[in-house]
Amino acid sequence: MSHCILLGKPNVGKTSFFLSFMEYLGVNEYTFELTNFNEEISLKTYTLNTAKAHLISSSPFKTKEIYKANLSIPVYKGSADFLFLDTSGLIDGISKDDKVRLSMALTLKNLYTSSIILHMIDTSSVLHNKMSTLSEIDYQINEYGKLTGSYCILASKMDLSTSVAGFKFLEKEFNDTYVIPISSIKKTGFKEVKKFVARNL
Amino acid sequence: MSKKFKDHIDHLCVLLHNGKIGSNELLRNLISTSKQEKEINNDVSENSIPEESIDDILKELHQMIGLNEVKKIVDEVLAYVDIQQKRKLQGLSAAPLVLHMIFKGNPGTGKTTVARLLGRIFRSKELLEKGHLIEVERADLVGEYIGHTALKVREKVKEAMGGILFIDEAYSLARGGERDFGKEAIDAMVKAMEDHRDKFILILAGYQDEMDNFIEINPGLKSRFPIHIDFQDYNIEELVEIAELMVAERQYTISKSAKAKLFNMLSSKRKRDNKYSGNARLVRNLIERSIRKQAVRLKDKSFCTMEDLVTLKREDFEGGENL
Ligand SMILES: Nc1nc2c(ncn2[C@@H]2O[C@H](COP(=O)(O)OP(=O)(O)OP(=O)(O)O)[C@@H](O)[C@H]2O)c(=O)[nH]1
Ligand SMILES: [Mg+2]
Repeated sequence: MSHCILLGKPNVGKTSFFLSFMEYLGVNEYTFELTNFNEEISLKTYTLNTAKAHLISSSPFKTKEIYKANLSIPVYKGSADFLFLDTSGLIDGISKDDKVRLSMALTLKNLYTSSIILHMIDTSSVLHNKMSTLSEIDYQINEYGKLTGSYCILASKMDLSTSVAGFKFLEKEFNDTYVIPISSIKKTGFKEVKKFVARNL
Repeated sequence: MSKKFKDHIDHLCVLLHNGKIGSNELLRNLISTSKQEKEINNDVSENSIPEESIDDILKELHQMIGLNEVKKIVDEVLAYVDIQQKRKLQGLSAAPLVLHMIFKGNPGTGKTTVARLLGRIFRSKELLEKGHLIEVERADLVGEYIGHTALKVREKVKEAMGGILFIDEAYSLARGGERDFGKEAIDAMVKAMEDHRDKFILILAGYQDEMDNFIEINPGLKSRFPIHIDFQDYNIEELVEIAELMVAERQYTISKSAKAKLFNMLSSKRKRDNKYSGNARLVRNLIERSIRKQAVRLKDKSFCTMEDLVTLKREDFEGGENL
């Protein structure tokens, strides 16, 4: 089964999109497979609201494990299954925090086994200097993603006022990459993401 | 992505977790390994040789110096293949074509070159899909822990699919006794031959005596390799002919006196170290050495004629006995 990985810097809105996109695809059972570094698997089930309350946070490094959800998406004549992965945020260099290093290792371990890569960049912080701001690792993910073929950038939080400028910047900076503007709050851009995934399954 | 790259990246993930490397370093590695992987895949597709006519390839084989027995057997095998294919077309029973081979002979007797030609021949006969040659030796097949060997063998067989897997010094697989994984490699190879009948050809190559002994102690192999080809050492005249071809390819010529010198060197060397000396590889080394010596000889000359530039003289071969 194809793996579709969602990754990016901390706090860019990965988990918010992960949950809203599942909602958009009509999922009504939020069951996730969690894999730790020793490849041990556990299952967790939530309702949409408890998932949102538990898994999303305004502080970075909220997600520390890989959350995997079995989804299916309509494609030409029928539907195709894929595994959707929410991951922990990536930062540059070597973190002092053992837990952060572990969670980054987990994310990167899942990167090369994924055939579809959704790379999220926060448009509202592009022109600031935050934990979530675009940095070297984003350029590296971009370079790697382009090698694999099924890769796009999700420009997140398009509902915020500083986002338009941020989006323009991303479009220019990554002019050879497909950049999809999205907002998890307003649920915009989801159709394009769905099409992109379906096309690459 | 291949197993090797996966292992590599998984290893880097552990280093990242331990704080030995940073995220950027890991990604840099991931990027360069995927680039390499891409290149390898491109090479594999380039491995498949363009369509060419069987006559051209056979002509190339027959133009090779010496190798008389080899040429005879290749012709026989091809005749056999032809008849079996014709019988099949007529609805007659046709023996399954088992084309795995054993090549026996000293180094430098043309085994690899002939194997490569056979790949092209079988491709043009549509017996092999691609006809490329994958050359391996013991270290490519024998692993370090249980299961590793089978994996390595499988990987090489996969690379050779549609072509020829050529195992040089194959008898070294039997070296090392009971606790060695060489035996496991042989078993895995035999299994691959059964699993992928007709999909690839296996050639085991090595010194005559060692190969004979190897097959004797692995009786299961005998029936699986119906074609044996002996590669005789080239005689001295043939070696000199090879030398002339080699220099011509590089746009040089050998002077008469240099040729005589070469002849003497080769025959005295053969007398001295009898069994394994000589052959094409030695000739190549001698030629390369003489080309370097010629350059040194001409270095201080104020003016070189065309003749100076192309001619290898007797003195350029001086001291080659010690190679
Ligand atoms: N305005 C706006 N805020 C958003 C949007 N998506 C996420 N956020 C906010 O961004 C913050 C981080 O959201 P998460 O979904 O937890 O981000 P994450 O990328 O999963 O973060 P980590 O798991 O810590 O790496 C939260 O405060 C969200 O409410 C969006 O589309 N618009
Ligand atoms: Mg998260």
